[in-house]
Amino acid sequence: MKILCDTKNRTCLFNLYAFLSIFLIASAYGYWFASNQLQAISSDAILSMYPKKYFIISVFRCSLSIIALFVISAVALTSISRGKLNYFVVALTYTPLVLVYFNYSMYWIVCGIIFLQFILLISTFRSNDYRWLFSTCLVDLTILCVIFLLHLFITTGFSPLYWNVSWHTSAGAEEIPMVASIFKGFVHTKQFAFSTMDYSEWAGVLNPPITLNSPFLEMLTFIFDLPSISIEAFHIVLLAVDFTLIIIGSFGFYLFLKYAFKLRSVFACIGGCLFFFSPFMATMMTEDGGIFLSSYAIFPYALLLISLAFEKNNYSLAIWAGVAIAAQFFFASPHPEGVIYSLLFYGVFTAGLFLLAKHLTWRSKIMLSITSVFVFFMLAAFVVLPILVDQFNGNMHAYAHMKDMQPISFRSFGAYGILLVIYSLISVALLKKQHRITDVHISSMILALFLLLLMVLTTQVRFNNILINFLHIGLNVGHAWRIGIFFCMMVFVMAIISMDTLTQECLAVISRKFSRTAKDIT
Amino acid sequence: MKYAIAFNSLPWRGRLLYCVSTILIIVSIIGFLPKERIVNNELLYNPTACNYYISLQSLLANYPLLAQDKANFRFIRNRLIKFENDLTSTTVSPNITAEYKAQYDKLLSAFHINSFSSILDEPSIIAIATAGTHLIDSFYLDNRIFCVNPLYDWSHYTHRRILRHNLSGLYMGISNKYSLILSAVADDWLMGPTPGLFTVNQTTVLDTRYMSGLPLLTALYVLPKYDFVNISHPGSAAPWNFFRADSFGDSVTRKILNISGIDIFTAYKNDLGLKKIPGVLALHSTINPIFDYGLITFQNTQSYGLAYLAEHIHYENPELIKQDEAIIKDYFKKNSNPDKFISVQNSLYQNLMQLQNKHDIILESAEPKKVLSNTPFSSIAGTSKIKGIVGDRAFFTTTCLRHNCIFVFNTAYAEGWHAFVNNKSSTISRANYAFMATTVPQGKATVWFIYEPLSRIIGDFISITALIIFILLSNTRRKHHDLFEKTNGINKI
Repeated sequence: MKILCDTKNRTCLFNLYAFLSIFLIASAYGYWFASNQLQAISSDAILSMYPKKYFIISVFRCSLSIIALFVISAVALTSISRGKLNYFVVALTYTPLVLVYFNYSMYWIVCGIIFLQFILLISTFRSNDYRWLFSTCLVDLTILCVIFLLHLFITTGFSPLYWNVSWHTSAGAEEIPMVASIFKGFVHTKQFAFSTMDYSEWAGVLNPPITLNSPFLEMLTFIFDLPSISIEAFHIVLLAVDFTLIIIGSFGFYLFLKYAFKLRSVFACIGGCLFFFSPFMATMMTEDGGIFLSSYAIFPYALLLISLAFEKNNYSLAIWAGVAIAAQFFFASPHPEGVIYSLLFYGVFTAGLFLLAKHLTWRSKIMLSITSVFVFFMLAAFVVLPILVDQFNGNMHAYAHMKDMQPISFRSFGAYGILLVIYSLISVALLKKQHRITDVHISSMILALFLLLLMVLTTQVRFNNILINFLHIGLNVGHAWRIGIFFCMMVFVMAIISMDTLTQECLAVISRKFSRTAKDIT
Repeated sequence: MKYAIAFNSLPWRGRLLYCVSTILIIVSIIGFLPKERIVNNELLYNPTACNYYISLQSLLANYPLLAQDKANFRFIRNRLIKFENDLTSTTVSPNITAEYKAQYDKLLSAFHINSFSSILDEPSIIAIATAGTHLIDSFYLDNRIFCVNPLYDWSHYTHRRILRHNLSGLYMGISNKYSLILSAVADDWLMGPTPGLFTVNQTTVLDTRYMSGLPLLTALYVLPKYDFVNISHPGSAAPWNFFRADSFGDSVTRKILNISGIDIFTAYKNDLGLKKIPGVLALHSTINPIFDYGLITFQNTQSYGLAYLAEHIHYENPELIKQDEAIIKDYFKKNSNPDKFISVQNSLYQNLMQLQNKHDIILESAEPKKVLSNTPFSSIAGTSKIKGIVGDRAFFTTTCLRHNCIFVFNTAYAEGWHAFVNNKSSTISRANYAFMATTVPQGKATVWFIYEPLSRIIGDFISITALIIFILLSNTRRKHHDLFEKTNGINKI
């Protein structure tokens, strides 16, 4: 013990005990999980006839996942309690996990853990903590509620109010491949197999880059003990994931507008509410199911956090930006184009910040950029690494689209797309007039926007990438709406900013007019 | 009024922006709302669709794997109650009820019970599920019959969207995951990008998408992974579908489908009747359909199945195979040497055509004698049983009647698979150019196939560990101030 920690250092000791406790709990749980995994394959599958190495890997993988969940909750709880909770007590809240040995359901166990953590948090709170919490989060929480209610009543396709008609399938061409892989994950989960492997999709590629795996959906299925043989239950949980992403995305966009662009809450809220009302998004949902949803929903968080990281020269925020952009793999591994586009525009936006932020040293800027990208690649390794290895080993030969695919142009971008282009040009002109174009974030956004425009304008944009080895044509802009959703988002950003500024001008005009009228009267 | 005054006082750009914004917002909302709600009531809420029959059979088929699952248990019970209630309901049309009732009676007689409502306690449901399991075991694992909803008249639906939903229902309703289905949906070229676009035209590969492993033989690599293979009409314009309905009757194609373990063929009734697609006609003349309700379903008795012990073995030198592989790889990567590719592919087909009987294989082996003794004392190799396949783990038992046997797991050969026979690591060889085979000893043996490539273990480990480290790191480096506090002026260029 002395080797690891000075016995006088209470914090260090508590942390050590915390990790020891969680390791024991997680290992016990991992053993139970791996044993059940074996039994789910066949009741005749006994441990003595199973390769030990792979059993240990299963235990280890499960234990590490539990430890990761503990770390996330511990950091969240210590932040909210402002350091009053230590890791050790948070680790103890995971003790209910061992109740699996007494046949308690996962649902009650998870409820128990959340209840214990809630009690812990409440017990440390004093009146000034409540005041701090309300002063910090009241506006944001209210707007979260507004966004939630808006989508609850308006987005009928995903709202829990309509989950009783839950046959959510896209009418588009790729409906079956997209939904099928998630469905398999849904079924496997109840058999203790959180496997990303899919026998039946994409010509048998064992690690297909396009498969929609959703660890989040699998987690929900596992915790809520959904009947894996129910097709309806599958569609309900799929809608639950989609709805969660819609709320998360809208709220993220609100935060992005408010804290990155310093807009007033009202306009940021309008932006948040409008975030998902994009025909491109609708087309994407119709044609491709939710294959871009997680990329799109998580994207504003990544932009927000990298903006703040550059603004405050804060490496923690750069780390969280990397975590945010990698989180799309957790919610639902998106279509590779979703990952590529989001990474590309994230990269351009970051490059804009990198070039234009004058208050930071070059070293800081380089470190901040590298940190976020490094974190992303590390966290995405569980999806990206097997794909890359298959590519390099020649186990996968692929190209994504037809050789004779129609080029993407303004025509295929649609009237709405052209309207958006005009709109973005007006917004840029207006922002220039309002002298807001000198803002680093706005300039970076405009840079990304023009890159998008360039991609749309060119008939086929080709670039080599290592994620997908497209044999003949390189990566083209597969469908106009796919790139359109990001384009639309950026135009929305500029529109909201210019409207915010315009409204300020309006109010100024009104006050001038009224003061003049008042003067005339007097 | 106030805003009108303000609006009029704006510069022209401001006015334009406001107008366009209003249009955009309206168009966005209108564009989003009707499109996003994609609910096919016809499929789900028509009780004749996949609602009961498929679900019930599916759950019973999979019950052995789900027996511990309480949620599934509750679901079975509720379904049984609803199943019976709907039969007595007057809201269901009489025609549907008649056919539905016939299926219902079939189920009752199969389970040796009078009604489902009388058996709502847990032990009885377990008994029924067990009966169902036996039924399914014999039906599905041995004969591998696919459960298609016989009450759904597929011929009614020609619109591609409805067709997709039907296929989706079919896909979701596959009651036994050990069955492979070849679905013939001719005349609907827009079906293109559904799963199962890959098969082979004997001489020309028009297109391909993702390939697993080495694409030694397109069809063999792809088919075993598919629950559906879409077959296009001969006149189809879609470049995706190069396996055509008229290939059904072709002997090479049929051989490949048999080797690939395609248990079920399905075809549109129209393709047999009105359109008279030669392939479907040929299929119909050789196999009796299991179901004939718009979508005709044929059981392929010559299918090799998903797991088997090889009967007669032809050996092939891996070096020769490697040379062929190089040509095929080259074709797929650079689209070069199409003539060589076609000649290689045709020679491979010819080799496969030499396999006379079911479960004869071509085994990749430089030293055949080491792999298998050539002096079998039994005319049949033995038996194998699928105990369970869940995700990336498959468990089998074998009873080999010879000195040694070759057990074939009829799924695509790929790096990352590991075989264990009686808990000892065993080498995986390629059977029939594309599948996995391993040697099993005489007598009873247990066989595990586990897909666990190193890249995945390392990837998982890196991701989870990195998540833990980065979050802890960010927490220690976090400054105790409001991260979202406003800063003024610092953002200016």
